[in-house]
Amino acid sequence: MARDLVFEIGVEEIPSAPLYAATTQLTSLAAAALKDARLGYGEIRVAGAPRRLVLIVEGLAERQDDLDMRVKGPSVKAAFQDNGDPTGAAMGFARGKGIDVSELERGEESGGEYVYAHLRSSGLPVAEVLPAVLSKLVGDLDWPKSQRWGRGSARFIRPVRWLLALLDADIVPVTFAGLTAGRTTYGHRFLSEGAIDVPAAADLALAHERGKVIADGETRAQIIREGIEAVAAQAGFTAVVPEKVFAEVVNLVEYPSVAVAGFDAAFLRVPREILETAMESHQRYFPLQDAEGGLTNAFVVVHNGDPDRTDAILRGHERVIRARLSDAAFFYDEDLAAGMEGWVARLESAVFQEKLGTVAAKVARLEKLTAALAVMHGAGPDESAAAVRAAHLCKADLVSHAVVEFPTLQGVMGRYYALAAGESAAVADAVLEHYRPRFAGDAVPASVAGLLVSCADKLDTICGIFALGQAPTGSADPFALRRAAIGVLAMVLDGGLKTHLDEAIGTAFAGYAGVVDFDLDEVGAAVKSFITGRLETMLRDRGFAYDSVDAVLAVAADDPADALARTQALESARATDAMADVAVAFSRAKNLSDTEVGSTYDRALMGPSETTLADAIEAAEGRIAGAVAKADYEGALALLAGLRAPIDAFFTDVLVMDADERLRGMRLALLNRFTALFDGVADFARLQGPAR
Amino acid sequence: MKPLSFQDIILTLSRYWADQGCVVMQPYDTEVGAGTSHPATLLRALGPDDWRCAYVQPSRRPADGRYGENPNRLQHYYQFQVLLKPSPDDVLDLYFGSLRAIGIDPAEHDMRLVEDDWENPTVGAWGLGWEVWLNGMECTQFTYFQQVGGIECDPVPAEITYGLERLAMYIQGVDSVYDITWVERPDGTATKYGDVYLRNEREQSAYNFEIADTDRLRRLFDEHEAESRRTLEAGAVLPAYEQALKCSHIFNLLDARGAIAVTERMNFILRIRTLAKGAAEAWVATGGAAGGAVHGAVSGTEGSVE
Repeated sequence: MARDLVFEIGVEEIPSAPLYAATTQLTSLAAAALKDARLGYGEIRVAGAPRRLVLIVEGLAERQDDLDMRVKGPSVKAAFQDNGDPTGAAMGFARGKGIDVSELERGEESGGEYVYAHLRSSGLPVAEVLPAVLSKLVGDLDWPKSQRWGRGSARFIRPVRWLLALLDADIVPVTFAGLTAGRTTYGHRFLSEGAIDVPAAADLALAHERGKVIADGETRAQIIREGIEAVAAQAGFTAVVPEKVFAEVVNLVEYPSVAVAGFDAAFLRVPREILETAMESHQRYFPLQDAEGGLTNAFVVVHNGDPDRTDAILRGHERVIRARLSDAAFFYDEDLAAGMEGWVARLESAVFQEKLGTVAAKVARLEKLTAALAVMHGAGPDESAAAVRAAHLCKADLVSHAVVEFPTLQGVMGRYYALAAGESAAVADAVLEHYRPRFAGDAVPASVAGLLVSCADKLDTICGIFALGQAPTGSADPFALRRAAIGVLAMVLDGGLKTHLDEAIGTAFAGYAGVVDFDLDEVGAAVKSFITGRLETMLRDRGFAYDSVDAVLAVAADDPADALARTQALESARATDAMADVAVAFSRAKNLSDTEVGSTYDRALMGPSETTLADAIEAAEGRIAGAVAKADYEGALALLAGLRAPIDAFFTDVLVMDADERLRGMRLALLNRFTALFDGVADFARLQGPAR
Repeated sequence: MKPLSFQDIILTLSRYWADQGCVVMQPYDTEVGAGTSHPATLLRALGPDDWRCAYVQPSRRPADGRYGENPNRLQHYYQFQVLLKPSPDDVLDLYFGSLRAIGIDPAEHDMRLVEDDWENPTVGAWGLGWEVWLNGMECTQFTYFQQVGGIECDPVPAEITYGLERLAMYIQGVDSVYDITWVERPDGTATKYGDVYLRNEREQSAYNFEIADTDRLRRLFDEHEAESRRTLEAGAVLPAYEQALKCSHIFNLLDARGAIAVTERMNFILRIRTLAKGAAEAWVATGGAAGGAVHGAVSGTEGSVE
């Protein structure tokens, strides 16, 4: 008859993220442990709430499966001495399997003779096996951080206070951390009194219900989500529910109640980002907005208290948010009164990086670098002026009260304060946008000034850290330089930023002259190759063949946008038969190439197919160069593909390596001239095989 | 029931924890940034012996001064500190019992334990725990110490730190710290927190931000550092630790005054860390509470140090 098992680990409040991880982990650990123990089962479920992890196994087998298994050991030759006595190897093998050496059997397998341990035992009753299996399971849970408590040496995420393990109505005496499992559970820490006895496994759910605990996280999530929607709708608003905050709230309560509270509407004069951050990050409230998307003075509270006392509890929360918002409004007003310009000077007291100096010094570098990048981009005078001004102000908000209090609002507050200080919208927006893109897939700055300052900021950081010799290695990238490089490239590839990496990198390093000692040639090349490496990955991630990317970056890595255009053109050209043939011809020509012979030839020595090819090459030369100069890579590649007929005829009709040195020289020079045509577009020698 | 006065909260908590066998101590008489720095917590957390203590600790955060104008921030405030070593199995029940004692019934509120791990690299210490939320307000820090001075705590103590002003504001329903009733007189009038501390906040803020002589403070830092080193070499751990605390407070004053250049900052912190860690290590190496390495006390050749 199949049995039901419940196993509850009672813990002091488990933090949210590890609780999620542990429920997943417990499911797979339990499946593996039962399989190892040769215990069949119907279904495994795991529930997790702040004070408990619950493993439920339905349809557990009454007994272990019988064991009947032959395990292969050493060869007979290695297992027995000449006189027939067992060797150390045989004895070790038998001991390892828990049998006597005399019980070893012999058998043949793939042509050799081996000894085998034939392991047989009848399965034990599940009740005898489970205590050890479950005790081990508790200890096998892996936590990101764990602790000891009291005088014990056991480690867990937080102290374990009780164990309940029931196989139907029978206690399974699991032990961990000095505790032995019984049939006692505990309900909600405050809404349930004392211990609750659980008669049998199937009754645990009822015990939780009586104890005002919703043990299953998904159930709590559903109750909370529906609750938020209901109370928001009732208030006539919609709730702003960031998934991260929501997920945490689900694991901060065992018995959720959802309700709407409010704050003084006068606080709505404070920027909404400050109000939202105060509500979400500090208090885990969900702000409510009206139909137009405007923030209201109402918010949703998910609480863990007595549902009948919700009103009094909400008054408590309202007092707390009032104090928080008063503080925030006070900071905001102080910031407005102080004004932004004074903060730039105070950046002297903020560290950018210990050896690279202050944020003030960084800002001074950014102003120069931004101006240089504006020239490379071809920015207009207004854009350029806005960008340089934004570079001057972009870090000022770091010393504002609001950002010191709410660091995630860097840039956001800078924009508000710039506008309040009478700066143009272009400058203010660039102050906000210069942190973008903040993560993979984040929007790039929309304005030219934003692009320029963002690019300057990221290049300055990359070059500074490289100058210190702290380039990222393996998984260690403490300054997030890879993200910075990808950000720069995303702005070029997707944001329309025009730049030249060599010049930009050189200018960025110029800012560090005298600040830190470095070998410009060496670190300059390192940064270039670091950024090119990211570009290579990004282009491949966009679906381009690795050899196309290789071929292009070998000739055109200075301007990533240009590299993208070339790669796109090359990929589509390679899909045509004509280009595929020409690429094969190129490769053949390249293999024969001899730079000694140069690229001038004597037309008097030529036969018809050589003349035709020479004519075609000479006609194409100027036009290909012209197309490349206009960045018309499709055009240039079409011209190259147009050489298919004359080059094919040439290879069919003549033998390049003619015995006559003059003929051979002419033909090799012709081929040199032919391969040189490709060089302006990409390094075709890096293309592997025919087009796909 | 009438809400407790500020001092009744302190007296009630002291009585409550005294009943749990805590040594009720008085504040440490050197400036500290938090009750954790009191040697009764920081050093006593180490070593194998049982130890329970409770005390109020005035705590100094010079940069938090607001000249008495902000209702929620102070440069001098009170913590109520409890240390239970080893942490008892019912330590959380004991803690919530203490809230009941001061008039906060957890069953009537929204109480939550929100992950808040503690780390103080200056003394090589860390622990896991929570901040306790009372209807969304952080009212207590709860930490199971794991290491102090880079040394494993065995057994593990539980540290409970109450924010007294916040709790009092909540219990009394006032919105400014200065409106907290400190004590009610027989005639029904009240002495408020502001009556006791407002002038102190104004003058100390002025001192922290304007008056403090930074050159003199730097010299004092150097002097206390040298004294801490010399004292530790002489084998007196507690006085050496006390000198390290003085360095720490002087650093905080210089910092509030804006006198620490960016480039010096790390170096100052390292200097304090060296002193504090050295004291913690010496405390354990010399036998903790029961030990002592001052000449005489250990060798027995000279009279014990009074």
